[in-house]
Amino acid sequence: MAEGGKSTAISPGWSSSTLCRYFVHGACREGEKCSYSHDRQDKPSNVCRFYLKGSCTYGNGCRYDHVKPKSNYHENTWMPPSNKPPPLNYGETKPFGNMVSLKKSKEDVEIVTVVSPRPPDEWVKATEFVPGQPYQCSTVPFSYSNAVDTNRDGPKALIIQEGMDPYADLSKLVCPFFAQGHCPYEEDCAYIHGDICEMCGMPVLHPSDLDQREKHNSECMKQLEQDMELSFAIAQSKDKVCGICMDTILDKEPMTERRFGIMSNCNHTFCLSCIRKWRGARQFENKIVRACPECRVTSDFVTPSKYWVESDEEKKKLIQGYKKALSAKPCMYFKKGEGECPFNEKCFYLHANEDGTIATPKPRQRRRRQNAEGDIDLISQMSLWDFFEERQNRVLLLELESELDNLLLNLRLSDIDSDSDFDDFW
Amino acid sequence: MANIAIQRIQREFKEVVKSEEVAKCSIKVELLNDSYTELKGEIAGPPDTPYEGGTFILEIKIPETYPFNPPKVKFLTRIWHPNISSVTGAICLDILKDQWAAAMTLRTVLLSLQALLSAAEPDDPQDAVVARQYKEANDIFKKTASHWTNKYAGGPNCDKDYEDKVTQLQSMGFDEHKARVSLSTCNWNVERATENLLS
Repeated sequence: MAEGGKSTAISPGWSSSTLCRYFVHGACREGEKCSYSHDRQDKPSNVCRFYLKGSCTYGNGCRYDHVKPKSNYHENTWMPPSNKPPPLNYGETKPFGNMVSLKKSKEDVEIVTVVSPRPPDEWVKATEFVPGQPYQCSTVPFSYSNAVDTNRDGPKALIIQEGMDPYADLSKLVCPFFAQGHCPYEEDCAYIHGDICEMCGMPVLHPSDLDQREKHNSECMKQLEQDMELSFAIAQSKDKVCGICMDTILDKEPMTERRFGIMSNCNHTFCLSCIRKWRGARQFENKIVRACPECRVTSDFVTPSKYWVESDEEKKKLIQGYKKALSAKPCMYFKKGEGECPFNEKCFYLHANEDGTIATPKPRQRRRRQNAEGDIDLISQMSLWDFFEERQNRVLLLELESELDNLLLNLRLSDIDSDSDFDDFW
Repeated sequence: MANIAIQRIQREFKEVVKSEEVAKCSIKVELLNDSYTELKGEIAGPPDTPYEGGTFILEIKIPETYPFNPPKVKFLTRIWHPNISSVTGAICLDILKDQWAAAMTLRTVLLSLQALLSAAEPDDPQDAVVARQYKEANDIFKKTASHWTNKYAGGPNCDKDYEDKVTQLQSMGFDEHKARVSLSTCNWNVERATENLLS
């Protein structure tokens, strides 16, 4: 591929037999004086390797020459008109008699031995020919990376040795052009023109391959279900207006703003950025901002969603998916065991140690602290989460033991400080 | 002003104008400047209250951070109410302070104020004098509120007795409004009101 760039350093004797790459493009300024050959029969110096393989991503814009080397190249090579499938003339094509005929002969298809690196069934599977129909190319898609990495097994395995019969399966394949709606060969196509699938309306069903039919049907059904779900979700979300900014959420600009913040305990609609901003407001009490701005029902968390979900089932699914996604991300407070997360075991994020093991939640520690009077206070360490729970729940969350400790401590304190006015003062 | 605040106010404005309350003339909002930061609100005194028949004008200031912060609202029309200052018109209403919610709108605020007029909260007063009267001499409170509505908000109920007492103090050289405040504060006892004014 890179030899073209080096051509100047090579002796003139070599260059005179090398096809001028400017001439190939019809743009050689040297004309007669050019040290390179202006004879198209000569070997071009920088033929595009990918073009030879049949799929140069750059097309006409490629820096390398899109000409065939002489050995694989015939003067009368038939170039397809642009509306016909271009890669069909791959392989050595001999004029007429020996040329690969894509037209069905009545009895047996005339098959010519091919030295091309790519058998015809490969390009059929090229992704670009069958958009939206992954089953067509699921076995061996020929991608750019495949082309670059010739050592990979995939494409290599497909290179058919001389003498093999690459067209043996020809009649088993569904014509991808017809499947897309138009095949220039119509009735005479060597490939099968499939039956029309009732669901997708495309002629992609193999007339006799039951497996293929079934596979396509199930994929079509799946696709249909997905489409239905999506259109339902869109229909449901379309007119939803954020209760805070009063914009129609799916019409917001930029696109990144078009996200719903789903409240866990009520069904009021907000866009994610608004509800997050509200919940982050510092000028109000926690209880106020954690409540829905419409109905004041407290929701412990808000789940981002692309579409509006309302039913309990959908919501549950969404929340589960969200929690699952979060649980894969390392917690920024836990810091792989180095830090401390205020949410402890209730945290949605991953609490994994350096070695990848999941950390066991830390037991709630009780600390001793001297208060202003020099007495010992027992402080039960609480998680941030506890403050978010309802007040009643919070009491339950406190360990009974520490409750008792507090009780005892209070009793002791009241023994010591008999002067209650003093207590009040402090 | 922040983009979201302007947008919200523009939308709310349309909402209020279209609402049935406007059709019934019970609430009204007007723009005072082009920047949507200051508005004039109007609420009608709710029926079966001393405020019935009156029209109360409110000053509404929209903060930069609206709707994440409540609008600043106060009465421009003088009113005799436990939760509204008879001097400044400041309102004591939780939703205009710590109980604000971002989904509340100008319409809901005005309706809440209207509801406040029909259901006072004397235990959480803004004007302690009024609140005491409300609790201790509810009849006098009602008559006073009605009198104020008549005088300042265009209410229909004219109380001859109270009129005369104000005129009496006015003839002594006191300012009409000051005389009314003093009389209202002293449960319409002329002597005490005079003493109060002189002290």
